[in-house]
Amino acid sequence: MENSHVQLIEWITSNGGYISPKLEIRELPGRGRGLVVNDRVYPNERLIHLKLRQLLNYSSIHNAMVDGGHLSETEYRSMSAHQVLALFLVIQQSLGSKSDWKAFMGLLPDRKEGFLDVPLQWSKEDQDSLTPEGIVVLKKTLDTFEADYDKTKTFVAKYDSDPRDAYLWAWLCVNSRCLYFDLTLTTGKKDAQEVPDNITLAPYVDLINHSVESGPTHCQLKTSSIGFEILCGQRGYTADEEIFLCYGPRSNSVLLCEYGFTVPENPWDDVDISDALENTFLTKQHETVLREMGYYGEYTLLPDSISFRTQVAFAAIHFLQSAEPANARLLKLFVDGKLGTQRFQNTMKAGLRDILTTSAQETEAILASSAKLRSCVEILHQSRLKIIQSLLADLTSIVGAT
Amino acid sequence: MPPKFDPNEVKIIYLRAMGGEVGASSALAPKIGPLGLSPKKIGEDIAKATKAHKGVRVTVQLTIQNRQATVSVVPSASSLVIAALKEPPRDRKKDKNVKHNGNIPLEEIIEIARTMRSKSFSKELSGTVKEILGTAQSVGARVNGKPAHVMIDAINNGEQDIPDN
Repeated sequence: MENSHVQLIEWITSNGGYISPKLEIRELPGRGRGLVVNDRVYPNERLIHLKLRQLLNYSSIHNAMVDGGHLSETEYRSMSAHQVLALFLVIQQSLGSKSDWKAFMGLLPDRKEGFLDVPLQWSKEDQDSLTPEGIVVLKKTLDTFEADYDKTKTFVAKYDSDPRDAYLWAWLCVNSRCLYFDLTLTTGKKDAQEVPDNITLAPYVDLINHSVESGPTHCQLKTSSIGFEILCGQRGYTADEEIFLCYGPRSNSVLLCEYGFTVPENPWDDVDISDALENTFLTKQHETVLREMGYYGEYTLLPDSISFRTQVAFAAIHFLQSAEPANARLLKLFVDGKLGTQRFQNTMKAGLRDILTTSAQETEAILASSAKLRSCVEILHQSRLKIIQSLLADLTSIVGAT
Repeated sequence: MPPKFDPNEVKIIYLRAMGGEVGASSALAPKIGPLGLSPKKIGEDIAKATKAHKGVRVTVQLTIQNRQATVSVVPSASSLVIAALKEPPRDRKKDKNVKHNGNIPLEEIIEIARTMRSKSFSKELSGTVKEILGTAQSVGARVNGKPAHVMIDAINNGEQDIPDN
């Protein structure tokens, strides 16, 4: 076992935590680090238990940040959990071996090479080669980062000569490793408004990789006022199997932009046709009506079905062709679920065929072009093309089934 | 910044529906429509999933994650007891104030108690059985030909044995 692994485990156990001796950190070819079991693990077996003081979250780092003189109470309260945690990591890194958290810091990704797979660090050209779904997520992530950096840069500059680079690294560490943790348990505040983001960094637990199988199959997280536990899921594991945690129902675009990896055959992948719909099909009048009903934007398609939001958009296109009041009523009936899609099925089918054919051609062109795509981007495009093709092949029956 | 394992990402909606019937989807529409789910289709899915409980009110759990929903029936004591009476299905628009004065063998009550075990606060199965017997009493059903509270007394006195699990 590597030295850094031993140090982390020792640090956790000497502070009252528990790590099952059946767990091992291993380098997995092509996928970075992961946790592997070396013996049979039974369902509901406790694998990891961390004490509250071993977690990094908004309430646990308060004293270190405020009493340590890094931030004033007002400054601390004005920041989000993500901003403070990233700043905390920058400070700990600048302390080097004097840090109380050096065992944990030792296993964080490398500052230079750790996040090369995350689109946030790519060149503009590479970022533009993402799928439309990916670009939407990337833009959101980028905007959040810029806002967070803007808020904290004066503080970061005190601890690092290259503040942007340091903060980006720390921010990505928090972004890709934070777990959900109900802070009302530790702060005692019952009102959700008073509680900042419910996120925490948990040493060792953050090494568990993602599985697309949601539900109780894989590892389960249990939080209580005495700590943080990882229990084996209903499936159990045999020796030399890797253990997983389902991060949530996330599509590959989200996985890539937030964490920097993709999974083959992701059942949560979808195709976003918002741009095509909004630019060529929806008029100002449609937009007003749809906005009023809360159905503007986020028009998606799944491999075998059409999102209801998309259906409503096509219903609006069809029913608002004429200004007859009866049509507006039909639209309302459809949104309330009292009317089927029969009346506008043809409009929807023609519109979708139009959009999908164009998207398929675009995606095929990107895949066939000589420009070298990163392999993960290629996976995104291929999965997009697959969904589009399966939709096009069965369009009549899929539209009919709505 | 989506934290891993965020329970809020999965939305769970509970509703009561008449088994096997397409309910009023307008109550459901404002909740699930904006999430990308078709209220009409979900209404039909609920009717399909509750087919086995025709004519009985059941609690349905809708699990929604990332624009995909799964429908499952939550076992509830009263609907299981009424189902165990094996009454002929009736039209609830015509028959009003129905009485469930049938008879249920104790074995079936124990079987229902096993299904409800996970929701019960009782330590032993006999406690859960008594809970179900209480429901049978309130529904109006008799157990082994006797009123349900007589059976509860019999369990309390030790006259009637209940298996450990």
